Amino acid sequence: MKTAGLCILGLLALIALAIAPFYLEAYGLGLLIGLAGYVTLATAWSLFSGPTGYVSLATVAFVGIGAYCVAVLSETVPYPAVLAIAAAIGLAVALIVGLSTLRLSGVYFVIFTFGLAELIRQLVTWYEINVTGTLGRYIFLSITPAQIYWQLLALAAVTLALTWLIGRSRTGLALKVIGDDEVVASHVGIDIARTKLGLFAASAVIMTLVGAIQAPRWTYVEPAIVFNPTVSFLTLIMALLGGATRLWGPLLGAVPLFLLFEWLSAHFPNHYSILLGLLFIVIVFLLPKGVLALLEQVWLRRDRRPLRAADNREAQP
Amino acid sequence: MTALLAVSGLTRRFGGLVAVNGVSFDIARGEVVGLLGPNGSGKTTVLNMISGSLKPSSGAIRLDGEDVAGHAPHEIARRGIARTFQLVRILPSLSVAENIVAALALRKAPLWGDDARAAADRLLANVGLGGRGDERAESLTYIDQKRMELARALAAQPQLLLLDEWLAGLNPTELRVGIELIASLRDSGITILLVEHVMEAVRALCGRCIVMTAGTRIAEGPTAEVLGHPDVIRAYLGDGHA
Repeated sequence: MKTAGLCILGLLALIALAIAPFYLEAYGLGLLIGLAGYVTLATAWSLFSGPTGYVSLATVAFVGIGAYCVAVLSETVPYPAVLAIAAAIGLAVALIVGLSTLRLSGVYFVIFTFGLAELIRQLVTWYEINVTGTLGRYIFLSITPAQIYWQLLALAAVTLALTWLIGRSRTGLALKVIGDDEVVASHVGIDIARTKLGLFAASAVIMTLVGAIQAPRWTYVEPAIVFNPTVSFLTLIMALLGGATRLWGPLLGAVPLFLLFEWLSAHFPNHYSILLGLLFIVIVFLLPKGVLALLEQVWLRRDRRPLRAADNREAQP
Repeated sequence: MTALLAVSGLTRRFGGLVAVNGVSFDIARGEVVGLLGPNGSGKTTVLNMISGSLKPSSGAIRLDGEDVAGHAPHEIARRGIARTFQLVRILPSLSVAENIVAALALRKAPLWGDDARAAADRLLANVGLGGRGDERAESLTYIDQKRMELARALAAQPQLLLLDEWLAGLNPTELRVGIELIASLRDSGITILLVEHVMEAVRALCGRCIVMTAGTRIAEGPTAEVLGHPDVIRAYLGDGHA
């Protein structure tokens, strides 16, 4: 009953968001595109990093791969096929990277993923300079901003639905067990490496698609733009703010932070990076588990208080 | 009578230290066998190799005739070996019932949804935690965490159950309850290999014992006989007592 109600509510929200472009100016639509993009990225990031606790900074590596696929292929291959190819390449890279790195833990994984994004960026730069002889590429596709927005909105909905389904499945339980104790996980029969690899790949494919779908908006791409590490950091901090282990956490983190970043970059263009850094520090210090976890704690404390009072009364006859 | 578990020449080296040195033994289906020895004699290392958390340096571990030595823990778990840990390992973010459902949902013949919850409640009742499935695993007392861990191991429907000092750290009352619990498992026909220091439990539960010291097997046989063996007394108490 409750689930059905939430489903209808979600569907209504989705419809409202889908017809929004008809009522918005270009700036509003641009905001919505950015929002949908970051909500999808943060949710996809949490899909893998939330339950496993692996902090990945490879987000922009996949976004960039997606964008470059469009830049390279859009003039020769039909658009839907470009998206499919981008997803396939993202998947292949994720599988190779996952197989070689998911045995790394903690800080080594963080460093590796950060390095990966830089490595791909440098490789693309090297290739463009030495082989094609030109660093930047233009994307001429007759795709309207509204169409980009609808694709991103659909992808965001699919990502949330996927996260929800996994959370309710046996895989979701397996992930919780892995997050709690890997030794127990392997001894109840969970293939830890395969489970992590599957999630990492799913998350990476979604990120690649975000890059590919957004690419036509940029018109001009070069490695420094599409492999900008700030994208990875923003995604990370959005997911952490909301709570990476909850379904709605990344969304709740992404919406306010994206709007805040927009406002900051418009009003303090010269101090944007400083403010961004300060904000990261504040969030990590004050809300290490995210807003949702904090609210839940407050709620539980309020719930328990009357219980404890009742206990005391029983103890003193 | 074919052996359910046949260990032969099992050896594990940590650098220059030989923790387990050519240990061999068989366990028949339905048997409860004690693995004894002073601290540091390699008992837990043997258990870890059987469950797959450690790879043997050499030797064979056959379960029902198939060599499982060096396989990954999840493969061995799926072939029917379950265990508890020397230091109890709970899943703190899950409820008590979910701790059990995890094992039910991920075993070879998985249960999920209402079936899994019902099975979990039955298993919890069996170990004396009936009706407490919704509590947080973290908030259980030590003995109850141990019960829960046992229920989780049983949820995998193991052919062979490995108990690593499952009775350690219990007070006398809890110990009696614990022994009865394992005795009831024995009577239901589960094959058990237990590492234990509590002699009262070993005498009450194990038909047969294997004694190790410094990584090698020094005695094997019916419990009473083995515990009276001069080598065993020497290993535990020193030369003057043998």
